[in-house]
Amino acid sequence: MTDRDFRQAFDDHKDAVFGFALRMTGSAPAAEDIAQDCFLELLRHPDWFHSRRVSLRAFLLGVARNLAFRMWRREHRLDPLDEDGEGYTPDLAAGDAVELVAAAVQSLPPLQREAIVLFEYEGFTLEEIARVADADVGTVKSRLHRARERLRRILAPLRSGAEGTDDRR
Amino acid sequence: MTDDELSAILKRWKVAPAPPSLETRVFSRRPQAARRSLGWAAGAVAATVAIGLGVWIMHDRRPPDAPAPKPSQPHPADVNKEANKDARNPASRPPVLSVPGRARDSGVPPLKIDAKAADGKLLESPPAVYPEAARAAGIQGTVKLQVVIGKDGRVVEAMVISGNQLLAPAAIEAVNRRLYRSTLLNGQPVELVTEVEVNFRLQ
Repeated sequence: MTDRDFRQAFDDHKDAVFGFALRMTGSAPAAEDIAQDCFLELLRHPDWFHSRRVSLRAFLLGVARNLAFRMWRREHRLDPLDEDGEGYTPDLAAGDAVELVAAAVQSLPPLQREAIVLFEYEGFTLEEIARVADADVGTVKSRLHRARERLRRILAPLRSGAEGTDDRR
Repeated sequence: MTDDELSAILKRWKVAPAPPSLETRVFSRRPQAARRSLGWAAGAVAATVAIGLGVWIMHDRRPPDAPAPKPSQPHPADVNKEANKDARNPASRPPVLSVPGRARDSGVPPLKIDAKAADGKLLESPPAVYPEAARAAGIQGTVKLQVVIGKDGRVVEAMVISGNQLLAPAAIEAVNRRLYRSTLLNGQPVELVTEVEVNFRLQ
């Protein structure tokens, strides 16, 4: 990969990689660490990208998700990546709607969070998510379904806000 | 709620673009990363040559009767310098949050101590206030910080190393209210740097 190619890749995808990592980790310093390591991985191993028939963005987000999961495992060694925890009742008086949406996404198990972030915020198709997540389409569909069910439950009180009546409860 | 309605709600969460510091971090480390990509073989050859050269020089310079050199004890200042190497590298750390009204004694690097030793010096540690948004969302976890303890025992700087962004501000606020026993080195108070973990657990 030439200097120019690398610069172009960085300029084109830095916001997507950082945004994805931020939504996955909920921490700006952690997202910056992940984004940095992600681009350095591309520089060290450009052959990894060329050997996979995916877009550069999908490749970079795939590296970023692996780094995010590695970080998550360090902090939650005993917690499974894809298990639904017990439900909870959100307290909508606690913060503004944006903060609660962020908190709701953060509360998803990591694999469900990955599916919802790639689908809703990155605009990936199910097939693209399956390639990034190294899973089959059916599994991704199931994760997305469970993530949506949980988010619907948590964010239900914001529904009228989504229609533009009130942004804060 | 339909999928479209849920999407509309989710889209309210917009994140900021990558900070300018990311570019500095990536491009300042780029030559190092590129060197690593030369591969293990080149590295191994270089290391072998360097070790061989070092052994040859040491052997050549040591008087015939001189005892083998003992592993030298590093000077405390050097240990401190090494321990803080990463922390001092502006490219490797997130922004440091200074406590308003309190200032670092700039110029002298703080002495690094481990978390257990720092806990032993703790005089006051008011509990962290659980952020309501995090509680409402069922978020719990540990926020890890690097803190600089001033000569008067109060925290003068706090930097988040890891942890959820909804919990981090409360963790910083909690450590800023901590009070430690002052530490003397050669009769003079010194600044300390250590790591602190603040746990947030839902009942």
